[in-house]
Order: sequence, then C-alpha cells, then structure tokens
Amino acid sequence: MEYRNRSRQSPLPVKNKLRELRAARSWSQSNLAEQLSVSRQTINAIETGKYDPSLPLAFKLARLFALPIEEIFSDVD
Amino acid sequence: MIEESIADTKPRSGRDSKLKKDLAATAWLGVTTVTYLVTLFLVQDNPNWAPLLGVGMALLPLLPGIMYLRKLWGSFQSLDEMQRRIQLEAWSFAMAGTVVVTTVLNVLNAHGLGWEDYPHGLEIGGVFITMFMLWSIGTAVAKARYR
Repeated sequence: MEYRNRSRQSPLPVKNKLRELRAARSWSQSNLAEQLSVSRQTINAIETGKYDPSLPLAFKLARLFALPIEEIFSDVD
Repeated sequence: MIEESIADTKPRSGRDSKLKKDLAATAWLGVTTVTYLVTLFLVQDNPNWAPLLGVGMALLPLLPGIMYLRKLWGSFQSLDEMQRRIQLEAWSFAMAGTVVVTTVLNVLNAHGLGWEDYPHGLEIGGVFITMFMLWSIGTAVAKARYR
C-alpha cells in the first residue's frame, strides 16, 4: 500500500445530497435541525460543504432519511 | 455577547430553557463585574488594611465568577458539535493570543520599553479583558468559516 503523508495533504473533500433530500421532503433547514437536535447553522454548514458531520450525526441523518450513509455522503476523489 | 451567540445557535426545541440559563449566566457575570469593581476601589482606597483582609477582598470576585463559569459550562455542554468546534477554536485563539500579549508586554517592561500605563504588565482585569476581546474575534472568525 502506498504510504501517504497525510500531514501534507488537505482533508479529503466530502460531498453530500442533504439539500436535495431535504427539499424533496419540503423541510426547511430549521425543521431538519430540530429533528436532529442541532442548530440551523450546522445544517447550513453541512449542506454548503463547510462542515463535515461526525459519525453519530451522519448515522442520525441516514436513519432520518432511511438511506445508507453512502447515499447521502460521498468523497470526491 | 457570548450568551446571545449561544442562544442563536440552539435547536428551537431547547431555546426557551436555554434562554433562562443564558440569563442566569449573564446575571452572574454582572454580579462578578460589580463585585470586582467594588473590591478594586475598596482595596485601592484602603492601603492600610491587614494583608489578609486585602487579599480576601481582592479574591472575593472569584466566588460569583465561579458561579458564572459554571453556568457558562452548562451552556457549552448543550451546544451542538459544530458550535462546540467553533468555541474550541475561539478559546484556543483567545488563550494563545493572551499569552502572546502578556509575554510581549512583560518583556517590554523588563527592558524599560513598556507602556507607561501598565508598568507591571497587564493586571488581572486586563488579562480577562484581553482574553474576552480575543475570544470575540476568534468566535467571529470561526463562525465566518462555516457560513
């Protein structure tokens, strides 16, 4: 396996379909935030790719949308 | 202020109880500030007090200060993960910045190049004010990164 010096690499960018999934259910960011017990700012930051959620939050999202995590989040490589 | 920034970022369902906690924290901050100012003037106006009494008066603001920190800690515990990260970055910046500012002032004073108004470097009030200002800047910068 090729060794990669992670300290010199930027973090792997992660894309998500949160905005589309939310819009398909006609939920506002506030609605979604309340269901997940997070702030609206956190939802906005995830949707715009400025913040990657923790694993527990990602699982919460997957359960809420009844989708596997990989269908909501994907890496861009 | 910190209590406003915390209230803005709370999930709607917990906002009312959070508001009460924030108001309690603000009240303790007010008590701490008033106590600090009163004891500051009392100690300065009574230089002949017994050392133990002077020290006791100077440390008195710590009591309401500890209550304020307890309420603040409770507020931090109820933040979501992104808000906690923002606060971690902001407090790290504030602490590092305060260390730099106090170190520079003390070194300048030691070499006779210091600020006349602060011949002994930043005193305790100045340290807290500096830390609070840097925390405010750090919070604003960290929040902007996630917008």
